[in-house]
This record gives sequence, C-alpha cells and structure tokens, in this order.
Amino acid sequence: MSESIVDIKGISRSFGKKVALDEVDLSVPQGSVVGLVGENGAGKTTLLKHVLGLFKARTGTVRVFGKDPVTDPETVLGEIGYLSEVRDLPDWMKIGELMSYTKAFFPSWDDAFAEELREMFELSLDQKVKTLSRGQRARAGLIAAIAHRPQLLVLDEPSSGLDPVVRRDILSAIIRTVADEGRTVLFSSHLLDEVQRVSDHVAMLHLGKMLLTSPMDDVLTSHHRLTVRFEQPLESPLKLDGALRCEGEGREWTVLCNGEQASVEAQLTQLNGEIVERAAPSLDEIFVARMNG
Amino acid sequence: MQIHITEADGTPFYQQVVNQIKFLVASGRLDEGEQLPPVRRLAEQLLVNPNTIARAYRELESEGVVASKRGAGVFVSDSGSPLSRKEKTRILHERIDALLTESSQLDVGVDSLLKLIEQRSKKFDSTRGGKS
Amino acid sequence: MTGPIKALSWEFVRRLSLSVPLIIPMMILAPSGIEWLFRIAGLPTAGENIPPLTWHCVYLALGFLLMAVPLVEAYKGTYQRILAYPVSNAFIANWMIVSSVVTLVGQEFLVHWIYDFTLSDWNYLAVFGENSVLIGPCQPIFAMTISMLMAMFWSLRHFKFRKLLVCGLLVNCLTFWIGSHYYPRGFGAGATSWTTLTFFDGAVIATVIAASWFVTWRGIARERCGDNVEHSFENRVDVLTQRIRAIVFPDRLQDHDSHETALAWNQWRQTGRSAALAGGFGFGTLLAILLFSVYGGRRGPEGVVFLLFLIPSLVGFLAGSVLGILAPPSSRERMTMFLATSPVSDARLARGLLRNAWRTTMIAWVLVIIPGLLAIGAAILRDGTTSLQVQIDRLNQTPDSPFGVIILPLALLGSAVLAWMLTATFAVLNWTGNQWVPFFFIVTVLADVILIMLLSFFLEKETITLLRETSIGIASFAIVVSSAWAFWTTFKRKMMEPGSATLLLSFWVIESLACWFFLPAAPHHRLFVIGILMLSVSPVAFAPLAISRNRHVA
Repeated sequence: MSESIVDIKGISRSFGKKVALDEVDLSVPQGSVVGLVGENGAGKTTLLKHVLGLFKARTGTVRVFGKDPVTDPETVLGEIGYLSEVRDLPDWMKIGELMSYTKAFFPSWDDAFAEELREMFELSLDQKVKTLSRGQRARAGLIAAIAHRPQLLVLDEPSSGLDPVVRRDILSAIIRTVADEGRTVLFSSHLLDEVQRVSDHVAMLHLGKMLLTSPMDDVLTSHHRLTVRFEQPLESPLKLDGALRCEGEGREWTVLCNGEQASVEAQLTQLNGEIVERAAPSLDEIFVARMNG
Repeated sequence: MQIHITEADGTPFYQQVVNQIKFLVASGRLDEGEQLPPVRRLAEQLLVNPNTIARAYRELESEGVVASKRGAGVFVSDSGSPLSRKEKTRILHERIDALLTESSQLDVGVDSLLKLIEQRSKKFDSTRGGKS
Repeated sequence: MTGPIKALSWEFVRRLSLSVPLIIPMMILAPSGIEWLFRIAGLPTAGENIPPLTWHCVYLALGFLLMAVPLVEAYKGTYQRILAYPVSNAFIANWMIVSSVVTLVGQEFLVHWIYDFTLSDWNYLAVFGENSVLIGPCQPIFAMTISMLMAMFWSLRHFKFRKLLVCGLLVNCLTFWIGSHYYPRGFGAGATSWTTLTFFDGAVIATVIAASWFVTWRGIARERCGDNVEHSFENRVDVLTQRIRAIVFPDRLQDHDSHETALAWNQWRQTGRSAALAGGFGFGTLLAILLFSVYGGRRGPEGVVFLLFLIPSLVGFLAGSVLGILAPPSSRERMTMFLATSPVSDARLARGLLRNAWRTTMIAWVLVIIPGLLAIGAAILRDGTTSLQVQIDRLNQTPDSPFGVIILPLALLGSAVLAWMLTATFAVLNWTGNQWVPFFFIVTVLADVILIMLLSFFLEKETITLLRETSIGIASFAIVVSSAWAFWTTFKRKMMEPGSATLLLSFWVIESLACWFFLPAAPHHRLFVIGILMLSVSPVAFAPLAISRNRHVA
C-alpha cells in the first residue's frame, strides 16, 4: 500500500485566462481506487491527461510507475488501460478488428478474458463501432481498456450519460481490476454515489485546486451533519465558524461541518439552538457543501 | 446472504457490512460455522471496493464474530452465541435511542411511551397468534 | 408564413456568411491565377492559343461546384431542425429550391459583374467582353443545375444504386445538351457562343426545375416520416462492401504481428486508401478535362508537362492534407485520444504515419501517371509519332520553355519526388496539431506569389525576376536551415537512428548531384532546387517532432 503508482507534484496549467490546474498534488497508492471528483471544468480531464502524458507538465512533475509518461509513453501507456467519456474509438472498426488491433499493442492481452467480456456484453465480432449505441460503445471501450489486465486503470467520466446496466458493468470492471492483486484504479466521476461505493480514496478538485485527498472513510467520518431548531425564526442567514455549509430558513437549519463538531455545537447552543439530529453526511452532501459553501 | 448497502446515510460501507452481518448472525439467518462469500465475490455483488469488504471481515474477525481458516475462507465462529446476545442488546439499544429521540421531539413522555409499547405488543401478539 | 421564412432565411444566411464572401473573390481571381500559372510555366498566354470558350466552360463548371457545395452543405446542417418546424413539405421544398437558386444566380451575376468592371483589361476580356453573350443563359442554366442538385441530394438520401445510375445518366444528358449549344457544329469543331434562349431551351429548363421540385418534395416527405434512415448512402455502401468483402476475403480477421503492422493497418484503412483513391479518381477526372482542352488545342507538350508535373503536385498537396488530419472533425486540432494513448513512442508513431503517407502517395501517383501515359499513347495513335516529334522539336525551340525535350523524363521523375515532397510536408504541417501552421504556410506562399504577380503589372521585368528569385532563394535557404535544425533535434532527442540520418542525407546528396549535373538551368536555379529538394528527406526528421508536439501539449 505504500508505493505510489501515480505521483503528481505541483502541476499547474491554464488555458488562456482560465486556470485549469493550480499547484495540484496527487498520489495514487498501489492497489487503491482513487475517485477524482469535481464540478464540470474543475480540471479533472486535464489532470488525467497529464497522467497519460497527453499534456506535458509546465511546472512540477508527473511520474507514473516512477517514469515520465511524456518521454516514456511506450512503457507507461503499455501498463495503462484507459477509457474516456468521449470514447473516440474509430467509427469504421469492427469489434473484432478493434480487439485484434488493441491486442497488437499489449503483450499481456488475455484472449480468453477479452472473449469472456465480449460475450458478457453481448457484442458480436462484426459489429461496427459506428452502429453501436452509447452503452455498447462504452462496453467496447471497456474491453479495449481492461483485457490486457493493466496495472493502472484510468477512467475519465466513464459512466456519464449511460444507463444503470452499463454503469454496473463499468463498476464491476473497476472492482475486478483491484481485486486482482495490486492493481490500481484512478477514475473521475460526477456520480458521487458511485465514487463512494468503489473508491477507497477520494480527491476533490475545485476550480483547479485540490481541495482534499484522503481515504474515503476518513472523509465520511470526519464530516457531520447537524439539524438544529431555534426557538425564534432566524432573521439573517446562519453563519458559523468552522461550518462548511448552513442551509435552511426560519427555525430549522442544517449545518455541515468538518472535524470541529464541538466548537460548532457550542456556537449553536449560544444561539439558543437545539440540536435535534446528528448524522453522517453522504459524499454527495459533502461535495455540494464544499463546492457551494 | 443478502446485504444491502446504501450511500444515502454517511455510515461507512464497511460499517454497514459489519452491522448487517452481525444482525444476520444475531437473528440466526447465518448459522454457526456457515461460510461467508469470498471478499471478491461479495465486492462484485455489492459493487463496492474489495478493500471495504476485506476491512469489514477483519473487523468482524477481531470482534470474534467470524474466524478465517487459512485457504478455506471465512466462517461464522462457533462462539457466536454469547456475542450474539450482546449484539442483540446493542441493536435494540440503537432502535430504542432513535425512538426516544423522536418521542421527545413529539412531546411524548417516557410513561406514555411505555404504555404505547405495551398496547402495541398485545396487538402484535394477537395478530401473530392468529397467523401461526 | 413570414415567421418560418424569416427564421429559415436567417439561419441560411448565417451559414453562408463565411463561404460566399470567400467564393466570390476566388471566382474573380481564379482566371487571373490560371493565366499567371501559364506565365510562370513559360507557356504562351495569348488569346489564340487558349480557346477561351473551352476555358470558360471549365471555369463555369468548377465555379458552379465551388458555389453549389456550400449551399448543399448549408442544408445538410439545418434540415433536421427545419423538418421539425410546423410547415408543410411543399413549403420546405419551395424554400430550399428558391433560396438556393436565388443565392447561386445572385452570386454568379455578382461575380461576372465585378469581373467585367475591375479586370476587363486582361486577357480574359474575350470571355466576358462584348462579343460574348454567355452570361445571358448562364443564370437560367445555373438555376436549373442547382435545383437538379438539390433534387439529387434529396432523392439519394433514399439510396439505391440504380438511382445513382439514373442521376449520372441525367447529368450526362444535360451536359451534352448544354455542350451542344456551345459546339453546334460538333465537339471536334470550334466553339461558339450561345447567344439566344429559344422557346425550346426555356421549356427544357422549366421542365427540369419543375421535375426537381417534385423530386425534392417527395424526398422531404420521405425524410420526414423517417423512411430514409435505413436507406442512407452509407448503409447501402456498407451492405455492398460487406457483401463484396465476404466474397473476396472470407472470414478475414487476422491478428497483427506487431503494433507496427497494426498501426499501419489502422492508418491505411482510415486515411490511406481514401486519400489514394480520391487522389487518383479526382485527378483522373481533371485529366479528362485537360485532355479535352489541351489536346483539342493541339498543345501536346504543354499537356505532357501538365500531366506529369502539375497534377502529381496537386495530388501531393491533397494527399498530404488528407493524411495530416488524424483527428475526427469534432476535434480536428488534436490527435484522437485513441491514437495518442497507443503505447508506442513518438518516433515509432511518426514512422508508422509517414510510411502510410509514402504508400498512399505512390499509389496516387501511379493512379495519375498511368492514365497520363495512356493519354499520351492515345495521342500518338491518333496523330502518329510524327506529330509528337514535331511537338518535341517545338519544345526544343520554344524560347519560353528553357528545359527542352529533357523535361519529359525529368518531369516524370520529378513528379514522383514532388508528390512525395508535398504530401510529406503538408502531412507534417498538419501533424503539428495546430491548424494555423499549415494555414500560415499556405498563406505565406500564396501572399508571396500574389504580391509578385500584382507587382509585375507595375515593375520592370528584370526587377520582377530578381524579386522572384530572391524569394525562392530565401525559401530554399530557410528549408535547408530548418531541416538541419530538425535533423539535429531529432537526433539529439534520440528519435532517429544515426544510420537513418546518414541514409537520408546521402539520398539528398545523390539528388543534389543529379540535379547539379542534369538539370538544364542556371547554376543559382540549380542551387535553389537542391535546397527545396531537402524537403524530400527532412519530413522524416520533422514528423516525430510534430507528433510529439501534438501528442504532449506543452
């Protein structure tokens, strides 16, 4: 668990005036599933493209398997399986052609596994990519991404716009990958319930900055959601030190805080608020609080 | 073995798995000595990270609910019964706490609550008796 | 009904707002450009030598295509939305035919009008001058042709191969009918102007437009109820090719030996085959036009030069542009992720791409050269060798043409090199992944050419020659310097083996020696050519740099 498969230190990038990444660090330990979350345009794709070597780091360093993906694409990309939201597989290729084409690049390609996946996904060899639906395309991309049993699986918004059945396929591919000894997954997603399910680390990007990178359980247990009731309706919006987000109106308010539960509760008692519920928030709530709060 | 996990409340998944397996043991739906599914299979079934399941199993093992036999898998331990009594009380405590919170919010005192419980219990027994 | 008309017109105008202002100046400048090309090739441009009417026909046909393609494209982008508007099928048919006819005829009128005004001092006065009344029926003919094109577009959306056959037949009939007005005494005899529109002519044009309207209307009705989806051209061709492939290559799903063969296969399927075939086919057609005009005008040798030199260069340009586009249209400026994430080094990727470019160019070259040689053979059969002999003698004596008869084998050899040079150069420029790089390259060259062309009206001939030679000299020098830099950088970044670099440079030295000893030109001209010939080897050094730049955005 100690060795880092992906090690990113201090990379920044801007496109024109828009800052896509600002001094971002990320370390992906071996055998872990890291979920990268953030709003649209937070820089997730840009970060993943750095991992693939499609962006050259302007500042800082990117190391994947201890190597620079820009100067050494042969070894780095050879151990990566990649699936993106765009799924830009060549339209004209047939599934069979796609499989034998991809196979030519990866010595570790597992024919039996590829065939098993293809049958499970109900794709026929002579279907053209052009004729596939979105979900089938994602599945074809998934075969190309995991049939060589990559050391690192990089998924960029793999399940956006897909139906629940295909999303399930993708999640179970992630699980299969890590269940194989020592393999690692780095994936970005908007669907936070998915991230909460499968990842053991979460990295949250906001406007190009890395807000937090911690083990998933730490994130979930360190955040608290308090429901408060006041005797009198509040005139002005509730503001508390140490709270990430206060939401509500009138007498009932919800407060989301991180770590400093005691101090927040003390403040609430001072304001004559009665805490009616203490609960653990979901990743989704934490995300919204962090982004809007 | 049927376990349902939900991301709606923020309880960590491993904790949910631990609680539910304890519940299954306590309620007798998992027999002593019964084998639990392998980590990988349960992970794929529940669509959660295998590390989560592994952690849940470790937790259960350290509490003595399950025991792993090298190479054979994970089994519900034989000494389950004393623990399951403790577990039963724990589960009930949890529910009672929730009930108390709600009744205090609804301004129902403990005495009236106890009365209510008695009433319901009679009704519950009669419907159950009628059925069986 | 004004609501939809307003909305549709607005969309239509917006779509054409870029193409029309580009096409009109192009149409006005094109004849001058052709004339100027003749001048630098050392060919006579006097009115008698080039049959003006023939040129005008070619010019009109190409001009029509130039104007009509954006029109059809404009509909292609909008019709899905138009079909969802609450208007009748007849309304859409009316709107499409009327708007395209008005645009095309207006454009054509404008072009001639401006041309007559601004450039009427030039040689092409004969075409548009007082003696020519071509402009008269030109507009009705354009109106007829665009409505027919529209009808074909809608009819062929429900694709059947026999429909394509009928369309081809109809186009030929109409071409013949139009042609017969310019050649009333048969196609072998000289052309005359088409002066008046008879009642019969008017009836034919009206009938074609009416029939086109009907076909368009039917096509729109079919499209609206979704009948065309399964019968699209792509589907039909897919079905056919699959059927043919199944017969020719039964069960052909071969494994690739290595990633290099896989990459080659991918590139070849994607761009190579289409570039080679399109190159060959397109220039086969152009060849027919040239043969028609050039041999008709008894200008054999110039025709040969054209065939063997200019056409392959155009092929090279086209193939290079096609091959350079690695990305799908939606993200043209960057390499596709699919290719970029292949686990191969930049140098290997570049090598695979270049290899494909090479194969494609050579196939396109053969496709063009073979019909060219056949055409020359046909000319010999028709006129006998004596006429060719006469023409070669004339080439030797023509003062405008400094190369003499040696130009024939030289052109053949040179065309292959030139085609490769252009393909590789444009492919590499495109591979940089920045659209502006090839754009600026072309604009710089064109600006230089146009500037010198314009200056030639004001300055002495000697000054112009000096200017021309200086700019070519600078270009040649720049090529040598930048190529040296490319070789050095690729070598330093370990993207090229020392052996390959030596091989390439020695190939260039051989080329240079051949040039120096065999090219019948002034010494400094030979030096220029040697410098430019560097482009035949330096793409190998430039390609990995371009790919690297495209793949890993700095």
